[in-house]
Amino acid sequence: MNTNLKPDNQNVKSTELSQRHDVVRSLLEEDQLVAFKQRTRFGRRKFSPALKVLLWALRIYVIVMLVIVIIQIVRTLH
Amino acid sequence: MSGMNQSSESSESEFIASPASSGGSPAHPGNCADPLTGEDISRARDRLAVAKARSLAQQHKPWRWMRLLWLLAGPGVLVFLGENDAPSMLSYAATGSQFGIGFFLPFILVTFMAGWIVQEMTVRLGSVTHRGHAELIFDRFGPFWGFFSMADLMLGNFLTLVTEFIGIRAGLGYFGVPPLVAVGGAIALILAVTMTHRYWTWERILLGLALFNGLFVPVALMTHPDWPAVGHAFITFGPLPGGLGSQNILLMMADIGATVTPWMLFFQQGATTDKGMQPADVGFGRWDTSIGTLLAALFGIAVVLATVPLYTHGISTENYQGAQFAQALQPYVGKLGSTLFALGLVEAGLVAAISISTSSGYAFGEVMHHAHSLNRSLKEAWPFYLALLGSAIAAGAIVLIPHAPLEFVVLIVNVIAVLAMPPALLFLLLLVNDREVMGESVNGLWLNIAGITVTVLLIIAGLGYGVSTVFPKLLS
Repeated sequence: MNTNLKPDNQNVKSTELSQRHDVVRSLLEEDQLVAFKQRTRFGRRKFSPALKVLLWALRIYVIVMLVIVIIQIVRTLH
Repeated sequence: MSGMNQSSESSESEFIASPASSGGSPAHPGNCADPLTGEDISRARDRLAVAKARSLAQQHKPWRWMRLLWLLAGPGVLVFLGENDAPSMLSYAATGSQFGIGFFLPFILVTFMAGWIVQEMTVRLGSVTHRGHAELIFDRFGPFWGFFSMADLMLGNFLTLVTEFIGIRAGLGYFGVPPLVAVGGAIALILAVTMTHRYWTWERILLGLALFNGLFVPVALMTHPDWPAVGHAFITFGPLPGGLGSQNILLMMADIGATVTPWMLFFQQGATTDKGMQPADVGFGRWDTSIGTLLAALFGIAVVLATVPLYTHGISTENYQGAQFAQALQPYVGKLGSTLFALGLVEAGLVAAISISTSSGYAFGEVMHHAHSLNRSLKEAWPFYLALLGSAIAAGAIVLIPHAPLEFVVLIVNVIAVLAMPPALLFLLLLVNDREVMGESVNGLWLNIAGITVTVLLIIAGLGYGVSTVFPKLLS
C-alpha cells in the first residue's frame, strides 16, 4: 500500500510527475495503472444452483414489476 | 488478487514513453514493464497531495485530518447531493404538501441510512479493486447478467436525466427563461465542466455547485416550522394520514427511489476509482459518504418542511410540477423564499444531470473496455464522453419536444429506480463478499445483515406497490 511518500520524494512537485515516472509508480498501486488494468481481468465466478435461482427470480421480479408500472401509467393517464 | 486473469486487449497509442531518468520503482518491481498513461500521471498528482498530507499527519501537524478529508472527500458527497435531484425534491415537496409533518420526516432519514449502507460498499469495492461497478459485474458474472444490469442502469439513467432537464426547465422557467435557453445552457455547462479533462477539477466544480442544494434550508426556516411537532414525528414515526393506502405506498416508493438507486452504485464506485482512492483511504471514504448522507437528508427534510404550509392551508398539490411549488409557496415565504426554491430545483437538476450522465459514461466505457476517466482527453476516451454527453443531449432534446408526454417519465422514474434496485443490490452484495475480488476487505456480518435487510425491504416495498396497483381496493 502506498500511503506515504519516500523521504527523498517529499519535495517532488506535481508538475514534475510527467518526468518522474518512478514517483508516479510509487504513488499508485500496481493494479491502479491503466496498463495493468488493460491486461488483467477478474475471472468469471462459479454460479451455484441457489445463486442462479436467485438471479432469475430477481430478474423475473423486475420484469413483472415493470409490467405493473405500465398498467399504473395507463390507468393514470386514462 | 487471485481471481485475476490476463487479458489480450491493449491500446498502445495512449501510453507515454518513460523518460530515461525515471527507471522503475524498487517498491514495485513487478510493474516496471507497464508503461504509463496521462491518466496515471494525473491520478498520481492527486495521490501526491494525499501522500504529502499523510506525511504531515504523521508529524502531528494541526488540521492534518481536515486536509486529508478535503483531499479524499468528493464521491460520497456528490452521490448523495446528486441523488437529491429534481424528481427527488419534487417527491419531497409532494410529501410535505400532502402529509405535513409526520411519518415521512423520519422515514426519509431511514431511507438515507439505507443509502449509506449501500454506498459504503461501493467505496470499498472501488478503493480495493480500482475497477468500476459495470466492469466487475461483467467480469465476475459474464455478459448475460452484465447486459441485464446495464439495461436496468441505462433505462433508469436516461429517464432520470429527462426528469432532471424537466426540473431545470421548470426552475429556470420561474425566472422567465425560455425552455430552449434553459436546456441549452444546462448542456453547455455540463460540457464545460466535463471538458476540464481533470477529475479533480471536475469534482471540485461539482462540489461547489452541489452545495447550493442547501438553498432549501433557508426556505424551510422561512416557514417557521412547528419544531415540537417535528420532534414528535421523529420520535413516534407519525402521524400518517390515510394509513397504508396505495397513494401512500406510491409516495413511500418515490421517497425510497429518491435515496437508493442503481446509478449511485455505478457513479460512486466509478468516481472512487477515477479519484485513485486506495484501501488506506476507505476510512475517509466512509466519512465522505457520511457527510453526503447527512447533508442530503437535511436538505431533503428541509424541502418537506418548506412545503408544509401548502398542507396546512389545504392547497391541493397533487398535480403540481416543477416551479408550481415555488409559485404556490410565495404567499408563505415571500418572493425571496420562492426564488430560492426555484433556484434549488435548478441546482438539483443540474448536479444530478452531470452525476448521472457521468455514471452512464463510466459504465459504458467499462463495458466497452475503453478508457473511461475524466482525466482523459476526448480523443483518448471518446466512448466514455460520447455516452456521457450523448445521453445528456438526448435527454435535453426530449424535454424540448412540444407536447411530449413528460408526465409519464416524472410519474415513474423513482418507482423504476426502486424496482431495479434489488438485482443491483444482489450483484453488489455478491461482489463485496467475493474474497477473490475483495481479499480481506469483504463485508462483515453486520454489513451483510444490513445489506440483505435493505434488499428485502426494497422487494417488499416493490411488491406492496404491485399489489396496490393490481388490487387497488385491497389496501385502501
